[in-house]
Amino acid sequence: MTIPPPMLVRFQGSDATTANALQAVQEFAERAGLPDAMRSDLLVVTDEIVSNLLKYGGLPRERVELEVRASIEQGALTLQFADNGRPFDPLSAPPPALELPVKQRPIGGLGIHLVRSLTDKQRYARSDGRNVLVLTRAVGL
Amino acid sequence: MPLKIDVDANKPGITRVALVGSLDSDTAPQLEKALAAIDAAVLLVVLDMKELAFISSAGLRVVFVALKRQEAKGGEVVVTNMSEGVKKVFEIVKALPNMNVFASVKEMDEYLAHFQKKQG
Repeated sequence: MTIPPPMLVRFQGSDATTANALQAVQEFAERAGLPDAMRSDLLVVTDEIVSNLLKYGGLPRERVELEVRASIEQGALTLQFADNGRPFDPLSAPPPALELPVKQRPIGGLGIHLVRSLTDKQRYARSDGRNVLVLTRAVGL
Repeated sequence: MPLKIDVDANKPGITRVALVGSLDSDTAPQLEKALAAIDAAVLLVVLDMKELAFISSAGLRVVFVALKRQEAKGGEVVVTNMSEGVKKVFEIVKALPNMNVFASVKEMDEYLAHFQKKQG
């Protein structure tokens, strides 16, 4: 594993897609030489967050602005997503009913549960007309 | 990121679905379609995840729908060859007790042989 330079990518309009965000995070994980399982975790988190903000952002696709940042500092990887959609805190979603067998569960809340379980810290802020979500995860670097 | 789905319906009553790539919010609808197209008479669906890089909640939902459908007709879904990351996701949502998971191809083949005998 090596510490790559911080990554910052901005996507606008039709480029603001889950696939592009996943690609960016995948590349960062590869540059850092992260183990497969950790890379998988980061990609899951990215899919959950980006697909959510695109769904609930309330903007026509051509007006979406999405920013993805990744950096590794002092043993912690920080992944940050910022978008210009309406105020939306993905962390405020209700938890899923995990105590029920899969068959009986309402389908919902799984995505954010995964985000919380696959990261160490999560923080949401609304700043300058943007939703900003910061996630951190300890890495052995 | 793309998903390739290989469906093997050569054995009666068993359909094997091999997944290659990522099962995420973009690709989950593809799998949904493929699973919905499985013949109603197929009782055992095997999801081979050996080449699956990751699965997100969108993918999980599709698997759960298939699980419900199979169980409603007395069948099941079997998952095999999960990577560490994929297995962790199933564990986090506590889905593993709901489905058969096999650690090795040998274990699964023995199960399939037994299942086929049961089918007669």
